[in-house]
Amino acid sequence: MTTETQDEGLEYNFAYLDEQTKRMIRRALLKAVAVPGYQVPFAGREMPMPYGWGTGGIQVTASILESEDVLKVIDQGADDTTNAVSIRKFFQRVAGIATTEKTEEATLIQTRHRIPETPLSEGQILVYQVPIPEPLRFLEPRETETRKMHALEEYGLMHVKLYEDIARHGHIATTYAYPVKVNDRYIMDPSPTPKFDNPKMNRCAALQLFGAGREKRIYAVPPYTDVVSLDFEDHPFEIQGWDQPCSICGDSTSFLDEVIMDDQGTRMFVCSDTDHCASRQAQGYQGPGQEAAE
Amino acid sequence: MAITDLTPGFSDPVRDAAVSFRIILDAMARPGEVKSLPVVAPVPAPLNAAAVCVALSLLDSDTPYWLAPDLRNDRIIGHLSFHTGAPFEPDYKKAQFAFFPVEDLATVMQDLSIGTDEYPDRSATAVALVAGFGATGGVRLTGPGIETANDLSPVGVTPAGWKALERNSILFPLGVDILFAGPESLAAIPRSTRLTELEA
Ligand SMILES: [Zn+2]
Repeated sequence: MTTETQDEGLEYNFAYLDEQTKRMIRRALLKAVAVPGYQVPFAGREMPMPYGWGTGGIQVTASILESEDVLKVIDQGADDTTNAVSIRKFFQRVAGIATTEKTEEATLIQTRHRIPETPLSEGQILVYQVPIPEPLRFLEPRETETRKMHALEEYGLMHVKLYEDIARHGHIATTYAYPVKVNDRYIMDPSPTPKFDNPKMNRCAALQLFGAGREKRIYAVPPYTDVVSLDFEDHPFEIQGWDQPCSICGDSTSFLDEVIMDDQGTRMFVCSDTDHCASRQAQGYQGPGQEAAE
Repeated sequence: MAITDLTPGFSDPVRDAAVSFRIILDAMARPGEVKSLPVVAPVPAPLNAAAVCVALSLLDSDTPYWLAPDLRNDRIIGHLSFHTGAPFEPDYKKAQFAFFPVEDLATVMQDLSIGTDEYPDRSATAVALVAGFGATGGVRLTGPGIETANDLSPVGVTPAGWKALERNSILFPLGVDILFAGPESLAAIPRSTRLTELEA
């Protein structure tokens, strides 16, 4: 099956990738699922967009997509950023699939930097775009060495690094890409999501797949798999919190972004998950910012 | 053998491979759940529908595969070669995919590739052909992909076969991932799954 683009009259294979590349990625995905948290190397191919745009996630999505899928794409929690819109349009064009902004309507969600606030369900797959898949890379630049460390489960360096954080700052200062241990075996980079989202990965009902385009690695967390954020007995893992609720919808449990509202520099905190915020507003919830504006 | 002797493959190769893969992925991600095949391609005997689905959606020239003697004939090797380009590997220790009757599980599992400490992904995938899935007996499965426990009872697994799977799970993160291929459905036990035998 080919999908003909209306604008250029060019023909692509369904979901852009050729079948041989899809098969290779599909086989890597099965290994990734069978060995949770282990990074499977794959021979990725060049995509018609630069690496920073999430080519790893796009290749994973293209390899698992079927025509009945409903795709949602988010970037920093929002469906309407340039990156999210471009990826959504790309798949509409090359696969002719339906898209949505509503988390609960999606069968497939590709994300950069956030996990939706709405709990994911068994029928869903979450695909993460990953820039640097190796959690030990900033401690040990040599791939041969990090591979050995994973093989021998030698993760002492990672704990030393986190403990140095505590010595210097009085707490673990890492707030993004906070390392996790998967299925009590592999240490994994959860991609640059805020540590606020780490607990959502633990025993999540949806299948979670991770694609790193530049380094050509695929890894996975099957449903209901233990994902534990690294910590110490005297310094337990904690998520970020805010002193105020979302200014627009009043939610005090979601991840908030600080935004500048006008040229006077008025600032407020709003939900980073735009679909979550919009559905709360549709249900009639209001935040302090809305009340003040009335 | 003339081309006209060949059995057709998927009727819509791109779409059929995509929907078949999703079922295989879903089965591997949720060990012990029996998944119905979304498409059925023509089956050259004595293969079965799920084994054909797995072969047509995952094999190609990069994946040497092995067929147990009971499943091996020129027609099947010709069929898989024509539709996938995959080379038949006579030595199952070197195969990336091994297709065999489930009764052979204990013997075949002994020598399939289990990967290496640094590359546990360089392991074989076992495709064990079963007549179907029963309602009782079998094994209770726990581990990644399973909320509490799943019971699975592929027809024809011998006690020695279950022992071989228990040994396989102890090797984690090394090991073989098993797909049980039936006439209408399939299920998986990846190496990450822990097994307890149930009374029949
Ligand atoms: Zn809000």
